[in-house]
Amino acid sequence: MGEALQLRTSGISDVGLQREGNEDSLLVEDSLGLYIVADGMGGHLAGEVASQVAVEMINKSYRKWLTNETPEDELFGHPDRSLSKAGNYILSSIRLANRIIYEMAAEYDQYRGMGTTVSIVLVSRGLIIAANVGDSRIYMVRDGRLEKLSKDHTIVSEQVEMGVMSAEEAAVSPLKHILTRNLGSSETVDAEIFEIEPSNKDRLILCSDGLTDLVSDEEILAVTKKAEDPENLCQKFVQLVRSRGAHDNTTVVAVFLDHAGKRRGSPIKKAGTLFSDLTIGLQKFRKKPGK
Amino acid sequence: MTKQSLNLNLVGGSCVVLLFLFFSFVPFSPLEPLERALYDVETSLLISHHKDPQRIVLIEIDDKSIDRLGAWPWPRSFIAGLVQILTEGGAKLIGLHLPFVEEERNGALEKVRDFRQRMRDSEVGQGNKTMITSVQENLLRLEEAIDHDKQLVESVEGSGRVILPVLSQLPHGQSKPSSVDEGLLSESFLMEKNVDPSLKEELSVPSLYPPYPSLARASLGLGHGGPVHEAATGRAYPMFVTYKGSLVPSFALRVAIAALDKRPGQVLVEGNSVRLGDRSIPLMNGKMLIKFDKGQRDLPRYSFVDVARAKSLPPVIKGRIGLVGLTFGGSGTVVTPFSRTTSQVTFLGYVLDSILNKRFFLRPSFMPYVEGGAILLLGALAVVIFPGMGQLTRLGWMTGMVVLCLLSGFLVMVFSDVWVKTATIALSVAGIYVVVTGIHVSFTERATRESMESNRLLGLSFQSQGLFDLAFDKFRKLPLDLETKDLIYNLGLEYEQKRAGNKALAVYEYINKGGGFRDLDERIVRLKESDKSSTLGSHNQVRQPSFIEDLEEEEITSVGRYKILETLGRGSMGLVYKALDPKINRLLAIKTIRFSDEFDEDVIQEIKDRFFREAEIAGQLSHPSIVTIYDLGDDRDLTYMAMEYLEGEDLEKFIARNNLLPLQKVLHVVAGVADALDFAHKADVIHRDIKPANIMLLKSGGIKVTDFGIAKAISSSRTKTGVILGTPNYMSPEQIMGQKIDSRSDIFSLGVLFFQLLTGQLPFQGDNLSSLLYQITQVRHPQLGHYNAKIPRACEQIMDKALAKNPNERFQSAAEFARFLRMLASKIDEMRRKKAGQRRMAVGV
Repeated sequence: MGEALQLRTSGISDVGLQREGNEDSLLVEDSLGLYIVADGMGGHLAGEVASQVAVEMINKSYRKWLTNETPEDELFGHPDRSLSKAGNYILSSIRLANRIIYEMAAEYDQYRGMGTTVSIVLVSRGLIIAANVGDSRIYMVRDGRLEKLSKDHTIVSEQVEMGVMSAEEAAVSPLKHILTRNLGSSETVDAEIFEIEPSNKDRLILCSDGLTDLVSDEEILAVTKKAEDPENLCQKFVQLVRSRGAHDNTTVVAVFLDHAGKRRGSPIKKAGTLFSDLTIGLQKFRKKPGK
Repeated sequence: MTKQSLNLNLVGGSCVVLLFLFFSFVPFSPLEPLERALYDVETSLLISHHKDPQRIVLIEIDDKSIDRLGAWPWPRSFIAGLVQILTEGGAKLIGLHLPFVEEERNGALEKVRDFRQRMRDSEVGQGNKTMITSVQENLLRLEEAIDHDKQLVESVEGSGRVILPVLSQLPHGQSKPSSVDEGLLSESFLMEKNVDPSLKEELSVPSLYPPYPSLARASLGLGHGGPVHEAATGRAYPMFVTYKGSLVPSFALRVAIAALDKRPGQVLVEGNSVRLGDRSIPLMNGKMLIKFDKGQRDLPRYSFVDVARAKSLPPVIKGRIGLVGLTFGGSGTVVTPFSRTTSQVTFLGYVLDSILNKRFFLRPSFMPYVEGGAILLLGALAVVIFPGMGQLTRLGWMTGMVVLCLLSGFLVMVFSDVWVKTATIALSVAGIYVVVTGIHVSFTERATRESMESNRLLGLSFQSQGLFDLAFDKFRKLPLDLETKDLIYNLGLEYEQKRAGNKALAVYEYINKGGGFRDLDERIVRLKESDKSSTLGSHNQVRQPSFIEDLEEEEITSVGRYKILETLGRGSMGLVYKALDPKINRLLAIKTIRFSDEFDEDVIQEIKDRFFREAEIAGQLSHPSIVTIYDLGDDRDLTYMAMEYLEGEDLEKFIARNNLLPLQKVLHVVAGVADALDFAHKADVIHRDIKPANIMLLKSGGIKVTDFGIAKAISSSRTKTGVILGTPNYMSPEQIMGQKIDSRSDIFSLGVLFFQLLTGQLPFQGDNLSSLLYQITQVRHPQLGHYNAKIPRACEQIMDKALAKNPNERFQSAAEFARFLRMLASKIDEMRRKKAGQRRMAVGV
């Protein structure tokens, strides 16, 4: 047995200065190490419903599968053998939530067209799982550097990725909020999912686009590095957004790993995560010259 | 249908098509027996009755003839006689389908001939010349009379219209003739053109045995008389055999050639047919496919013995062909559509008749291509359309295609006498069906297993989101097994809980389709009734609401999803029922509260919310002496709390003077309650309503405290009547004064209960409420000894400390209270043991 995981967490959702309702939902579930931010969309209350359902379904199904130690073959959809069991639980819970929202939208007029983004972080001893669909982001501050663990599913970010558009153009593009993927718009959805090994003093931030629209990555890094505790950090972010007009709902969840704990997993899996960490690192390294 | 299975279908289907294509072109495919069987069925369906001219008469050497004339073989003079009779009767041709490979072994003839020879050799100059001549003549006549072979040869020669068989196998027991005069056969050879060498090879025979030379020369012609290839199956007849590269006509063909006044040399075997005058007999592998006709069954037939005895024939023989052959038991038989034991000669009769009347089926050489084309076409169609079909549709189409195929084959046979090998085509379609279905089943099995799991998960998720209709949609996609029934049943219960009786009913009726389940029938009946009464009730309600309300109180059958079994009693705020949770088949107690009776409408929701909040907090208390709460809910205007069902009684019964519990038991019970309170107090829950009715004495001896925290939700609210709910008898002074209360208030109430359990009396009593309140807040409780002198002094001290007016003077925790009670109990025990010991000692002394 390794040493225990030590976490400090906080989450905040702010309606902002221009919106009437808050379509964001969040979950801070320390007992599971599960953290979710979802940014709903759709008329009337549909956006709220979508983000709530997503958070609730993911929480519920993950908890149930974890408790029952459900075999991976009995989850929703085909398991991804390259992921850990918990990774598959997360993946499957996203698929299930997507399907629920999709069918609700198809069935009820008032929910027509609703959808939601979702960003999930699962922190357990020796393993961080980051999953997302849409443009709510997951950042990790490690060794004084900011790393993005999520991938934006927007038209512009895909174009940036393909090299058609520069990051600067993307930031001001009118299309920057158009999602290519979200929960609820199609019967199935592919989530982006990463499994990495945590290290001490990692700081994870999950946020909706209310934050990232108005606060740059550099600012996020600076604020996060300075913050003493997660509550304080979340408040800081909201204040910052509000000071800049807060045109959208802003939701931030902060997870501070004071002690990462030691993983119990088999050496093979360990090697696997090490390898994937390396690959991710290399990719980032490769991308830099392009910038 | 996934891409993967689509490709598999294509590959599998193509394999089947190729396999059957191969079958349709190879000469001896494994499907041939099936084709033959199908052919037999088709031909036997096709047998019609034509009034063709009858040209054949059968002369049978039957059992009757054997009986009369002796065992076969007969002296050949018998046959010679018959030939003579037939010739004289005007028969056009005589086919003697009898073996005459060798001359008869006639011992007597040898002897006579030998004797005459010797006599002629020794006659020189001796004796009576006339006598010798006469003897010689007589001997010669005798010789002639017994020389049957010579007689046969002469009759055959004289007739000039006899066809004889050559055999490819010798009759059983006959030895091989020393030499075969092949010149005899050459006259019988047929002309040939473009005959497939492999066919010739197939039909070749290593040796042929014609009749003995003198007989053979006397005959009109020779034909191969068997045993016939495939004769045993009786549907096809080879038209010739190959002997040393030449084609020898079969017996029936040779007879037919003669009947048409032709010679074998005028007959041409060309490719797949035999040209015989204006006839062209189609061949399949050298065989004619006989098209039987009912008329053939009635070929005239006569017993040999009858013909021989009468020495004449009915005039019917004139101009006809007489076929003579063996039909007696033991001679070979053939299977034909008419009989499974058709004699060889009869079969030859059928064949000959078919040739002469041109009744045969065709099997043109291009047929395999036609069939192959059909296999390709139907196969392609099947491969394309089968995978996209449902099971039943596919089966229907497959059957349709097979039937169509067989039917068209049959129709072709009826109208153009062409035999199509439809079995192969039909089987290729069936084969593709099997392959596609197999792939489909194996794929769908996997897919359905997955989608079932998905539907179950989705259903449960929707249910958990309160989207029952969507949940039901998903559950409906599952096979209605026990597990699914359970899922749907629970959904029904939730519908009921939400008062959606119609929906619940629909759900239950759906389950019922798959057979009964638990108390389903009962539920359905009840729902149907309540459906009726609710429509009825809604009218009544307008007119007489109060009446309906009373009625409801009395006739409640369910609360939430729980089924009421019986009423256990009336609690402070409503009835308490014994109920069943059908979801998990658990007995439970349900406490109902009708807030609407007690409170003004504007505060009901607030109180309810508070009630739920408090009850929920209390429900989290998990202690062996605290009753477990399972569920809270609203059902119409009833608020209910479902809790563990306890076998036992509350303490109300044991506070009557004449039914008090023994002292030790009282101490035990009160200490137990104190333990439970202590646990709750540590969780910041104050009971606020400790009274005998809230404490259960279990059959097992333990105790359970109920109704934690509920009083808080209610007591602080203004009621309709302005009256404080429940009884103030057990209230602490600070409670009555309306001060902030803490855990020590419960200790005071427990003290009151303790007092009552010991004495059967309340410590504070008053004629009216205000005097009671005065008593509690101001007057000291009476001494216990005043009621019962046996109560120990220590009890008095504990009581004083529990019932102290000032909370600071009381036990500061329920645990302390309990400790004192237990101490007292053990002291009493000790004293009793001592006393008993003393008594024993006294007795002993």
